[in-house]
Amino acid sequence: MRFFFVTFVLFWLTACATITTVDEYRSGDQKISIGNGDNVVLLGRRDSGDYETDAEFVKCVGSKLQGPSLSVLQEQDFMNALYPWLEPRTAPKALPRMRRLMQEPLIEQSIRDKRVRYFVWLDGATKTIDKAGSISCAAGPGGAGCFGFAKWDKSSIYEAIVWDIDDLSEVARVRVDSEGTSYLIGAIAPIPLMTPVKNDACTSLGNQLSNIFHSAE
Amino acid sequence: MISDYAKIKSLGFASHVRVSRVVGVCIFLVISGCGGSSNVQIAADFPMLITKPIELKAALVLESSFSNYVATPNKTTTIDIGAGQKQVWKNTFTGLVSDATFLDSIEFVDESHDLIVVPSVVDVQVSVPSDNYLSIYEVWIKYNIDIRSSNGDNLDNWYMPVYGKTANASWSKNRAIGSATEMALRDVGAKLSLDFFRIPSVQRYLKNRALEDTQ
Repeated sequence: MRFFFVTFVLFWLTACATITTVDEYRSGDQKISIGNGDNVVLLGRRDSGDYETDAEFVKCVGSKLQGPSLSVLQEQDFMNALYPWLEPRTAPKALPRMRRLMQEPLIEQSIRDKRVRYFVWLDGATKTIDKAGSISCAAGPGGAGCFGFAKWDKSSIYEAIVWDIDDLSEVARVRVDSEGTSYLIGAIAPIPLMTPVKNDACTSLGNQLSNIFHSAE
Repeated sequence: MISDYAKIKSLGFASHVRVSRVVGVCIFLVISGCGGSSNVQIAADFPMLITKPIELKAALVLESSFSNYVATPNKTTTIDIGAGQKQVWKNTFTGLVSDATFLDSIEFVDESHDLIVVPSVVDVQVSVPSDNYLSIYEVWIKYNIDIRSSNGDNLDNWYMPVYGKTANASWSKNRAIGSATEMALRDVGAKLSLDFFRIPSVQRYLKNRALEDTQ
């Protein structure tokens, strides 16, 4: 009994690990400077056919990035303020299109009013890449229970591209690749052993991004 | 006279019937609850456009069939898009032209308007993960835009599909379809901002009017 308990605890502690790789590219050696009162806005890419960067992930990275020296604007509020120029159909995919948008006085003024210095474009998704096993549950007059074992692998791949709106250039790129396996054990009660792949990707990306900005006091 | 034994037996039988009925009702509720019918209401909560309006007096006719439109893309889904699409079309034309008038019927339009626009919904389609084998919900709204000149002549019937999707698999079906529909309605503003004045018949008509004004 003790052996089974120890085995179970060890399995619990070691099973739900995530492997996360973070790659960073910066156009210069220095950290990205942000002035007092300037803001950063995080925007999700939603133009791909089979996935979209979900708003909850964008919000999660924003909450990691937000700090006393770094102010992050809410994505939806900013999209509404610039409507319809950040919709999936109209959002600038590259800097030449952004330069073209900034030539429109109303758009430029709206961005300046919000004191947005950097756009951070987030692109990616979390997908289930493999599944195995099965679990079945049954209920009868005498009780109910689940039996079996199932596991699935999830992969989160996200890329953040930072645009400097003052000189309309790309200043940094951060890519996070996170992978992990979750388990569901049916031993009368279903016991989930979930690996927080997406949450780990969010934390890693948020921390890495907050490391590359610094407040220019 | 019924004996005590018979009474107890009949009471037992009655309670057994009652339990069976309760179980039956529960099973029915579970089955009907899992039926997957969706009734989605889209609120009118769309932003104004930031565009430089063109100097033009236009009438946008939003008939009651358009303003109260309830789409039934399949037998288990209804989407009330009337209030939402009314607002998004109004906001869009307020941003596109300098003088926009909104009317409930084509009968109220007079010749002072340079352009008359009458949108109508042709079709609404929904695709759910079980249809597309992706973790996304998609909504298409297909509009016909009846574009008329100041004297009421038809210039064009412009077909305009708009599209929205949402990829949050953890959301309920109603919430996901509602979000995809909101994205599709936001696409109305994006599509019209990019394309409306590039419709060849509109471009030609406005060019001719400008020429007539200068002569």
